[in-house]
Amino acid sequence: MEVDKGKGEAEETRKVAEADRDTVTLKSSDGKLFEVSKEAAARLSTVLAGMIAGGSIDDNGTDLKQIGSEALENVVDYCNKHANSIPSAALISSSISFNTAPFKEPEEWERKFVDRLSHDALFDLVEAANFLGMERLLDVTCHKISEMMKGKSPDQIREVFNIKNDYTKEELEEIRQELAWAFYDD
Amino acid sequence: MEQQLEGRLAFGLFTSINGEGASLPEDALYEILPRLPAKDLCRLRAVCRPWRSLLSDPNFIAAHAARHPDQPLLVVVGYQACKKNGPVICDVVDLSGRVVKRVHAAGYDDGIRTNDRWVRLVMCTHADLVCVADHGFAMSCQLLNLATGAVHTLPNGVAPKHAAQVQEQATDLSCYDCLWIVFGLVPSIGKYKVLRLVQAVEDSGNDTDMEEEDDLDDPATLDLYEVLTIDGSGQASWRGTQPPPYDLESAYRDSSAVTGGIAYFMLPDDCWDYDGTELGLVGSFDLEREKWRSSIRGPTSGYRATTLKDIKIASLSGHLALCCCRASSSSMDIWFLKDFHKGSWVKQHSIKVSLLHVPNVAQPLLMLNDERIEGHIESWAVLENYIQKIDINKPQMKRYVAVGLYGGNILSLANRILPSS
Repeated sequence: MEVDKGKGEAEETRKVAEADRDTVTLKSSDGKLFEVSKEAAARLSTVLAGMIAGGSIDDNGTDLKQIGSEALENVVDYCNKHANSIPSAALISSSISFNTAPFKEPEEWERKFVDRLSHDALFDLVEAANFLGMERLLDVTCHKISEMMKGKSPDQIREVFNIKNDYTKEELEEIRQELAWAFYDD
Repeated sequence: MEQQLEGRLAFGLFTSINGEGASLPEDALYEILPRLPAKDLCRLRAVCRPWRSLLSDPNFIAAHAARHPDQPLLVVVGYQACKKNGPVICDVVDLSGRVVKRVHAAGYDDGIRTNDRWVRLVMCTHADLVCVADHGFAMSCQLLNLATGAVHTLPNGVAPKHAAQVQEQATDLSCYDCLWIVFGLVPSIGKYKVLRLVQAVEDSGNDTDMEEEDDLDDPATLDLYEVLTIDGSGQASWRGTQPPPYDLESAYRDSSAVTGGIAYFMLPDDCWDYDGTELGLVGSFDLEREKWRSSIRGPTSGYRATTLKDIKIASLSGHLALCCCRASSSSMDIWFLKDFHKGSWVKQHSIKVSLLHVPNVAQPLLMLNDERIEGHIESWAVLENYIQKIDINKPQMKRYVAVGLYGGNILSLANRILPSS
């Protein structure tokens, strides 16, 4: 997916080509370039759609300084896979802090797409999806993380997600006693 | 990779171990956590304080409930709180019999009311509200919201109209006793209404002297039916309403059900015969219009009840259900009232019950949606086992006096674990 852009091309040629091209080039924080279908980018990312419409796409590679190459590769990969799946796949509604719309289950290929990722890559992808306003990808990745949390003990959650325990021992014991029923498996 | 993970997730909603970075947006946690079932979320309150704050937030809980219409089933088991039984007025249990919330009677723990006579008991339950009363002089009633802890004290005294009537007609009746009380949501106005039967009686202090007096001419008691609208203002007062066109004086505590703004009552056994053909089996009161409705008969075919205790009414899936046990075939038939005006019933389910359980079959509580029926039959049995278990295996627990399905939210219920930090 990574492309090596030659430096010899003339500026004029490039500008003409830009208008007709059906792909956009994205540049990761570590300077790697990725090409993605313009149609898919506009459809799946509100941020990229805005940039394309506003003409702020740089043919040399649009700088996405907040996104590392591994995450950007996954983003582009997702866009391409999405373009090849059911084209009419609806986006979920824009999410605010407390969304009340019913959850949309990930499709099979989307499950497989996130299942192969390491925790690290998954968390990076959440961040990238959020930055680029990719609601559907955010939905899919958050679903995966929630699956990881299911049935876990508070200890396990703190370990996996690197969270500091700010309770005192006594408070924790009190919570465990009060919520004892929630600590049993059904 | 574990090394790299450090400091990755820091939403501002919690502190990472090394306190670094904010690589994931807070929005993500708002998107992730609502996907988890309520039970997981209750457990995850033990992760850290910021999580507990989020997972206890009423807005979060409301949004979670909207996205998880199938809440876990919980049952309210009401007791009598008194010196002998202890301070617990009710337990909310899950279907495995585990106590989700234990509620103490107000006034017990602080020592105000721990005398021998004082007994507080659960009269009835509905949604996330429980109605508790002082036994013996049950005119002192409260609605307890299990989720918020709010206590709504129902006004003392009787309706002014009734007070005047008693004074005028029966001066020897100086005490009031509440025989039963039911309450339910009136969907059209979005408010709860309470219906009760109050009996004006002679002061019990004079009983021994007055016992042999001729009381054939004068009624020894006077039945007063009263309604109250709970509007949250604290200004509500009891209103007198007409007596029913049938005898409800001896209605049992567990022989009523409220659904769709209608309170239904099993009529006492002298109001119906074994075929249910001559007299009505079920009476009802329209809480919205505050009018009694004519009694209706039981199902006319395939329906044979031997004794009243083999029939219970209940509110299931928004229907009035009539549950008839047939010991001969170890089964319980559940009939739904399909059309009140035609008095038509439809046999909706037939549930196998153990012969051992038949004699004290509980009021069926559980929603029996068609797609979920298998699990709920099972749960129903578990629930019944649980009730037996608390009587037999846990002598420290009291005999229950009321059972109801908890209609509130499990996350709200499990709130208020610790004082907020």
